[in-house]
Amino acid sequence: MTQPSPPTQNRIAALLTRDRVGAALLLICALITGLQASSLRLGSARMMGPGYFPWILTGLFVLFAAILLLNARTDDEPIDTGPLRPVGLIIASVAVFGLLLPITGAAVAIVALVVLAALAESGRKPVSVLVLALVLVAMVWLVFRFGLNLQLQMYPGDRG
Amino acid sequence: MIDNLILGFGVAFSLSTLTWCFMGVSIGMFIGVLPGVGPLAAISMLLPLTYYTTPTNALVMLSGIYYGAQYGGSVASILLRLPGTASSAVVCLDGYEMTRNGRAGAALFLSAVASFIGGSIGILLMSAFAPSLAELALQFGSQEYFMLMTLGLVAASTLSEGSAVKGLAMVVLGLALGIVGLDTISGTMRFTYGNMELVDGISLVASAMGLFGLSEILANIGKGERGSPLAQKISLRSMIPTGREIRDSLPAIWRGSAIGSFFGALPGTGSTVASFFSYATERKVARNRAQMGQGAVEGVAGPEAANNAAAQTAFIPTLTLGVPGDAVMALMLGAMIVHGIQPGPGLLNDTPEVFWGLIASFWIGNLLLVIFNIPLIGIWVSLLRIPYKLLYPGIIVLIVIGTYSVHLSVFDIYQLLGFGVLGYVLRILKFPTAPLVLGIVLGPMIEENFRRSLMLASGDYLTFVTRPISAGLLLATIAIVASQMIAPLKRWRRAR
Repeated sequence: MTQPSPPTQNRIAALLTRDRVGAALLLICALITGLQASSLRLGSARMMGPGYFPWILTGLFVLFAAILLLNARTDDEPIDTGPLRPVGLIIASVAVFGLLLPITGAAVAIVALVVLAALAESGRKPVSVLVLALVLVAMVWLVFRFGLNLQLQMYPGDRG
Repeated sequence: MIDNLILGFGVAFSLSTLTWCFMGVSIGMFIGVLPGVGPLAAISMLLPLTYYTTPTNALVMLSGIYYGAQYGGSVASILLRLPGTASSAVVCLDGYEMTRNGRAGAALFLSAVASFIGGSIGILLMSAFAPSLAELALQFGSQEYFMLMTLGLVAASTLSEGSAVKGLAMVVLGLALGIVGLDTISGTMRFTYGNMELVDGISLVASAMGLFGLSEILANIGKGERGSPLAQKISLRSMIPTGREIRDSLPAIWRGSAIGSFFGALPGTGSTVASFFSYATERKVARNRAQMGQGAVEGVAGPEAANNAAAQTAFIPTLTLGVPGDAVMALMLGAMIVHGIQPGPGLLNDTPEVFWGLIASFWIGNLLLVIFNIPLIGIWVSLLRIPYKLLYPGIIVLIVIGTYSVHLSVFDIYQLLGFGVLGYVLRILKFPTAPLVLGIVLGPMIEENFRRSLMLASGDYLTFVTRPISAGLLLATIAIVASQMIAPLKRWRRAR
């Protein structure tokens, strides 16, 4: 059913099914939980230490990863992420907002967020994006600063 | 019960409570109409707003969003064949056919009436049974609470859509995330890695907004324009159903209300299961069963009554036992804890004004939905024409500012981002995210009850079996797990 393509790439893609990657993810969770649990006091069933419950969770992670691997369905599909560029841009928009907020205040951070987020969908006019950004800044200012009296710094040096 | 309801209406009829109730149901209706934005995303986005009011008002508004969304979800289902919420997906079948037959207005009206009747019956049952259930819960020890939470988690993760194993795995991940921070029993830090902001644990708002709000946008971005234009005009006159339509739908409404009330009160089976079960019932017993799927009124009225009844009775275990049945209820529970209310049998006895005020507000909210929002359906529908590319930057701004506003913490924005990416990855791998939030909320409680049970029993695990209520809950849990194993085992044997 698949068209002939470079064999190695095909084989890797076929290996990376949803359930297999999911099981791998669960095993990573088991590793993180287990490492943390091993640094905590275990205690006994009568007097449990902080490490007792995390060990149980570690065991459950391994159990479910194993079931997922053994029960791998025949109709399990390879992973389909869809277009990654817009996803990356949205992630970047939130990250940039977090970086800018303490430095420039909310107004600039919101404009940066909206511009980056708008780049994720093609065919936007720069003017309309800027108008949208300014409208949102005004709305946040009105609703959160004046309406709810939130201590939100809007511009550098703003005392709130 | 009458005295209690009078107390409740006294609370609910104050101007500020009425205002928050109206805001809640209107926002819920709007959110429900918009396809793709469910009540989970709406409640998590608006959770921060409620920190500015009293606990009662906060709960009144949040629950208004929830049942308002149940109403609104059917609008998109009927007019566009796009389910606004999962629980109204089944209404697409006959609702959209009614639209194609030119009966869109009648379908909308009947669904609103069915919702109101279903919701009212749910509320009645809730006021009747909640006190006795709370009475029973007073006898519960840690063992019973631990088993009850286990049953709830197992039921919620296996009976909903998708793979049962993946659902259970997400519960475990949720529990692990839930215990991040200071262990109150031993005073030890867990999973904080020296970060002081994690001492109080994962932020519920940040995780819920990331998993349900941001990841929704990440999954939909770049997939092109959604939604389709609506041709039919909905006038008030077109909403009046014929006498025959009313006669045919009434029995379906009663059946749907009964089914919905039952499934709503059970842990794990919320309004979605209830509406599908009601549709399946109607296909067997309705007078127009031959026309089901071609625009039969029973196919709209039954499931709509069912999902609204379930939306009300779902509050019974949450409020009286402190054990939420699904992710929406887990968020409600989280909101109560944030506001300093401990749900459980004590809620009815110690703060009856909160409990009965909430119940009275449900009634008022349902009434507001019928009186104000049915004439406004035309406006809600025109909102469906807002293009997504204008909507999503605004939603992201609302999400980040809302997250930041809770603790005025930039770290929470990064938590939000982390959970957004996690939710996106889980979606690609077809893992359900709702059990994850259930786990995060219940994590600390289930661990505490587990540790206390075994401490009281001197480390003897048999304590979960020797106590009758606990043993019964354990049996129910085992039965659910066993029922989930039948299909895979059969497949495995056939494959050999």
